[in-house]
Amino acid sequence: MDGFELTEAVRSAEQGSGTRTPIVALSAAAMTGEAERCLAAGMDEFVAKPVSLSALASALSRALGTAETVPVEDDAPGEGAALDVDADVLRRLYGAQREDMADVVNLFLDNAERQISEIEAATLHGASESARETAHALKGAARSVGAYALGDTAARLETELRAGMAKPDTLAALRARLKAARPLLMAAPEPRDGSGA
Amino acid sequence: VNDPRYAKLGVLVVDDSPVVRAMVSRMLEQMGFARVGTADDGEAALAHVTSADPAPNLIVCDIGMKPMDGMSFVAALRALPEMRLARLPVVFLTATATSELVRRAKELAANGYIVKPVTPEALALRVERALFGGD
Repeated sequence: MDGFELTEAVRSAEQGSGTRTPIVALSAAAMTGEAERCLAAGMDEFVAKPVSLSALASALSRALGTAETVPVEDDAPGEGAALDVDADVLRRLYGAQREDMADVVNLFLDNAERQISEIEAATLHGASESARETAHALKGAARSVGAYALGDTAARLETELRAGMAKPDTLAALRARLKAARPLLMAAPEPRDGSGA
Repeated sequence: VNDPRYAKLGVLVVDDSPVVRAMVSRMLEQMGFARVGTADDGEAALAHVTSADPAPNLIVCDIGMKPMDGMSFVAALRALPEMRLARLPVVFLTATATSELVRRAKELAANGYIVKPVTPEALALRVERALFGGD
């Protein structure tokens, strides 16, 4: 039984019961076009694989109708932490055309370096809203190139800044995550079986 | 990857992230689009659509942007007096897919919805469906 059939069974069993169990779809990044299909089938939220803890946490909090954002301790190193760089995302990107994507990765790295400096300067001057916007932009860009750990740290900083205060540890983690991601992003993975090329 | 059907078509990429703009533009160029334009928010996108000659044939658009977000942009696009522009196919890009966002996208007659990170496969599939239909 696949997730669509499960959802249909759950929704039909719920009819007339007055209850509605929230269902969060998990689907592979390559299949992200499925989001509307999942939601149309009666699921409540959609999270693309590879799943980051912060994406899952925000989907769950929306599905459960709890707080808009929940702080997640997700950038601690070790088991369960997001990958520094997801080789699969990178392989798909580089698979398209290596030179072009190397340019994109370099653009990302230059921007990320500058964005972190801007965040540091803004927090130093108490400009949390400006720092939060930059953290938000960094989060999106990082996830786009598969730098999930950096993206999650930026997401966490964004949450802290929304609450008004960035923790020094989170700021320091941002630099550390960029440093960890940099060589992995620069060393483009070999295309797998030449597909996508 | 290169599809000859795109050889005479133009596309507009709207995203506030220069990294995402560059990435998606390169992917679309590789797919064979003749013209790939970019805009960093809805206002710039609207200006592009109404002034570019020839106008783009497709729009790939982020949602969370300032000052004008993607949903407001597409609402304004659909309200343009020139039907050719008002009916342009739109594929949304988004970091999160909530049923609320998908419902609003459908109300705006969006032709596709991609959850980031954008991959060449997901983009190619959505773009093809938006332009040529089918399933």
